[in-house]
Amino acid sequence: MSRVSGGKQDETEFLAIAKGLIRKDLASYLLKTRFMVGRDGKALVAIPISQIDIPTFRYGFPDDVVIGQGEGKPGDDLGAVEPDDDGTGGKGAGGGPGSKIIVEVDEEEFFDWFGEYLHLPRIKPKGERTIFEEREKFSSIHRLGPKSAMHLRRSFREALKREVATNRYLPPEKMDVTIMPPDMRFKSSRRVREPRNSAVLGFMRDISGSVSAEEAEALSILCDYCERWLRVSYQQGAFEVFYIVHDGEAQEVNRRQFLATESWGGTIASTAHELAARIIDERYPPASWNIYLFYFSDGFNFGSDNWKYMEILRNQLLPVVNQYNYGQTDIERPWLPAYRESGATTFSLPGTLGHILQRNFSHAENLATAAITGRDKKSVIEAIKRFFGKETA
Amino acid sequence: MSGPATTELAKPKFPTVLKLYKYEIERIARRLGLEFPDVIYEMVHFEEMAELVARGGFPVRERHWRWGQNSIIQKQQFQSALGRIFEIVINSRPVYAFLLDSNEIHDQKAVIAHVCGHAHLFLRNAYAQFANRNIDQTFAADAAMFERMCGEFGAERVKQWFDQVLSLENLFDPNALFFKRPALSITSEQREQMRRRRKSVHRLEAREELPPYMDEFLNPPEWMDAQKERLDKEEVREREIEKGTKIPPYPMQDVLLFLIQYAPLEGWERSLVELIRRRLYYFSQYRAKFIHEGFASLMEEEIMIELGASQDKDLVRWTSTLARVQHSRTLNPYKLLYDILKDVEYRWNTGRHGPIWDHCDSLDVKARWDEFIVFHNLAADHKRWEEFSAFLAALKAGKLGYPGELFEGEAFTTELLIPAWVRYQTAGTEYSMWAKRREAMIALGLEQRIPDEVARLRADSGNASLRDEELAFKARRDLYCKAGEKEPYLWTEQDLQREMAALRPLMQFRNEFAQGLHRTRPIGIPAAWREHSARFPAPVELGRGRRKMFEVVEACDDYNILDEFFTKEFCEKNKYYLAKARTVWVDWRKPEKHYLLETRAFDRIKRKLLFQFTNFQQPVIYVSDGNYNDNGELYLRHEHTGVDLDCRSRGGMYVRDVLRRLFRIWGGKKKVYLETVVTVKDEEKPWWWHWHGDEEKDSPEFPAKIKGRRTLYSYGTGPHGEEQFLKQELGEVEFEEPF
Repeated sequence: MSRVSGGKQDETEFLAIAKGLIRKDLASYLLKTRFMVGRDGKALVAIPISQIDIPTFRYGFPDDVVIGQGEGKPGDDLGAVEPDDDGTGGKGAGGGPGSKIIVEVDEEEFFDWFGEYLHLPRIKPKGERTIFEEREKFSSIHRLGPKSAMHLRRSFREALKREVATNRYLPPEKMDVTIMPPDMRFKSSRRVREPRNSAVLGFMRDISGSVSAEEAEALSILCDYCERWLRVSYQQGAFEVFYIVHDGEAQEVNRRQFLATESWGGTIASTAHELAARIIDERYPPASWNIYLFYFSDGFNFGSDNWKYMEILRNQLLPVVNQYNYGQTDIERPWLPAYRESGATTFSLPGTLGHILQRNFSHAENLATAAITGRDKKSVIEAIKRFFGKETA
Repeated sequence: MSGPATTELAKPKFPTVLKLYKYEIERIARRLGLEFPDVIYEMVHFEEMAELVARGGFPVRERHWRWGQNSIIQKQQFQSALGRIFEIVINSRPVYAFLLDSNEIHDQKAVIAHVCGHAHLFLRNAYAQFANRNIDQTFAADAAMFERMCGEFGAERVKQWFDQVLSLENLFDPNALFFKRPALSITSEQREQMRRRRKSVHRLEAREELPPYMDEFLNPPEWMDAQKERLDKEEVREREIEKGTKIPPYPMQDVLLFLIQYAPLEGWERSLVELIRRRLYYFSQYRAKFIHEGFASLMEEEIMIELGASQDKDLVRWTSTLARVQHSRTLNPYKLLYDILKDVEYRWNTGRHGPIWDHCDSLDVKARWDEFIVFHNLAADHKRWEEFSAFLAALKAGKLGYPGELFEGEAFTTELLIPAWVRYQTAGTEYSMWAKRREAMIALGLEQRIPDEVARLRADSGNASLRDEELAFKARRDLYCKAGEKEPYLWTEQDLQREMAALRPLMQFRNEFAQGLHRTRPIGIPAAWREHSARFPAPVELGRGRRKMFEVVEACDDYNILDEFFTKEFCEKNKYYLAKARTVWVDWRKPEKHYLLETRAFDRIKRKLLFQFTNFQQPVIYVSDGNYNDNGELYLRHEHTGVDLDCRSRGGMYVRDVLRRLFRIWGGKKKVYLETVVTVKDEEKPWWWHWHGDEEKDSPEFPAKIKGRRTLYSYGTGPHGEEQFLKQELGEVEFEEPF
């Protein structure tokens, strides 16, 4: 319809080029993506990319010196220069207006690239434990129902039909349409039996240190990707997440608390795993749930607890979970240098848990370890690769 | 973005009421002295608008992904309400203007007024004269050619080639349209003459006989030798040029033209380069872009005020929109040019120009310039001076049709006093002119027929929402056009009445003064006035502002106008400053780049400003040798003016990738070179430097000497047949800080 010739085709061509670029260098985009729901309810991934520009000879550092207008005397600070992508200086150092373009990709397509880029095998649900489940599905329209389930468009259409039929709708003079009770249509549900393939994710974290903002961000990105990558595999069926934090003792928390909480207590890793085992026992019987556990710690533990931790892991958790992932972070502990100098041995040193796992569980198929640092966001991607890179049963 | 709802879009309709206003706006625009060809307005939906903006306003362009990129950016910006598009106008005949259908009516009126300003400059501005009038058709033909080539030679291949050439898009000579490069058009006679002159070094001869030993001082032997050497070199070069071995004969800024002439291209490849070059020269009229915008905004303002006299509601809404558009802390070229044009009008209205203004050092004179310049023109005529004194007193009392409050402060007094005085001088003749015009209009007898015509139109259209006065716009136009009376059409009865009413108090004052009713003490004349007036005895023409402003927009491009009219007073009045990005330590661990106000020095601001408007802010690059090393290699030289090429960001792709593409275009066998200067950056000052800033550091010496290295980049095949990008340093140079 547009009088511009080839408008849509040019956009499609550009999007194809942009998607190619993203796919080729996915790592640098992974940390900037935003998950969202499109207009038609499709899951989308929005990826901001900087303009693709055709290289030409151009002046460098165009924003080093600028002209402005207003009050002030020499030496006044006029505010920060907007940083560029590659951190080379002023905005638009790459030229042009320097605006970002948001490329929307289907979530499924995106995770295809994701898996391909990180060489991740597709996750297979555990065994033949598929069970059927009855659930409500909104799929039909009914004349009666609760107001909250009213289908506005259908109701409006009925009302409009009625108004037209009774000759009360006369554009342009009278165009208002009132929805009366007989016009109302409601979404209604049906009971359906569907196969269920449920998965549960358990995140555990050692909070006995201070978490910097960067660390929290890295963790949240990591949790996000783990969650979404698994969700793609378990599209049919229930999908649940629980979070546990621990210092001297463990407690279940919500996501926000999980990422932000910090404390100064001791560190007893087994408490969290005990709690996880109990939660699994009570809520998620391993026979019908695929269980994925994540544990983030700096590997610093109460010395005498190491043994108990290994016991729980070996006897209670590893036999039932699909995957146990251990991420070693570098949480900041201001008191640590003083503790080290004191020569005390109550705690085993940072990194110990990692050593223990690698030494004792290297044969375990469903266990993976990775190192995560907040300063280097790429390590998050590496961690995902370590966690899901193994073929899991 | 592409929901199912948007697949079928009805073509947006041009509202009838807007069409009526279009007639009225165009009438007012013509009355204000604008001349413009026919303008065709099209309403477009925002998606279409985004696609048009992406293509520079032309619906049919060759298929290319960068249009897609631009239109996606536009759409996303529009959707997140980051930018507003009002209109896009293209310079063809007729002029096409696209309006966005989702803007409100009052915005559309303003946009139409704005477009009138643009259209005037399309017709009048010197730099728009060479533009192809049928450019839309040229572009459509180019698009068809591109499509055909894709079919004939393979889409991949053609597009890849096209992308390569786009990398050289800024390497052309924007001034070539306006004069012939003298070096390129030398006749053989001139060349012979030049050669004869080169034979011997020109010696200075003394006017009187001097002792022979003085000759050494007049013509020092070292200097003579250096000259001889230079001339010899030139001679060799000239001989090469004549033999045709020097390619190009003289350094050539139009790299694309050079490639068309000398690069080993196939026919279709050459046509694509020509296509790009053709477009460049069309868009080179954008060198006056900001004059366009400034002038159009100014005209828009005047037209809207004229139109809004009866439409107060719209006026308020429109001014608030305008305020939002123009507000900006960083440099907004639209506002800058708008301010400059206003300033030009003001200066030429009040005689603030020429030697009498430039060489005025006396504060006594400058502080009361308006009174001074009137005094100067009256040339000590006491009677007239008394009249002026009384006139000023009457103005301040609000007796002459101007509100007295305007003349209490400084700002409006300087703007209005002299125009009022000038008008007062000619009030009598002006009044009789209006009266005559009114008589002629009444004699035509068309005005009385308007109500009937309105009634007829109403019966025809059946649209109840149109008001009578709106229908009258069309009725008047129809009547006068049919009668062929274009000049009387521009002035309505109301307009004439208003003009005459404004003149009446002035004429009354004149009579009363003649009768001696206004006795005031004449304003005292300081000695400095007499002194300064005597230094520049020629009278100054006042009230010339409007004419001057129109002349300026016709003759200038952005660079010229800033060079000429961005004055020290203007810069200070509008509080411009220069800011530099520097590293500051917000907290001791975190260095951040911040803008620090560097200086308010006028010359530095102006240098930077002019730099921004030189050659479209693109580097000037010459082909200096097409047969470098006598091996058919291509040698480009960047004319370094203090600002480096971007050879760092994104891994240096802005030099390396362009050279690679140029290498491909230059046949893919012979090396290509680029000579430029790379500044040696000083180490950044430690963090406490800015923290303990004192007066001395804030005002460093300017211009400072900067060191740089002459650098030669090259791209070509290495010894083992692989392509390589090399960097070679040629030596050190020193140059002045650019701004």
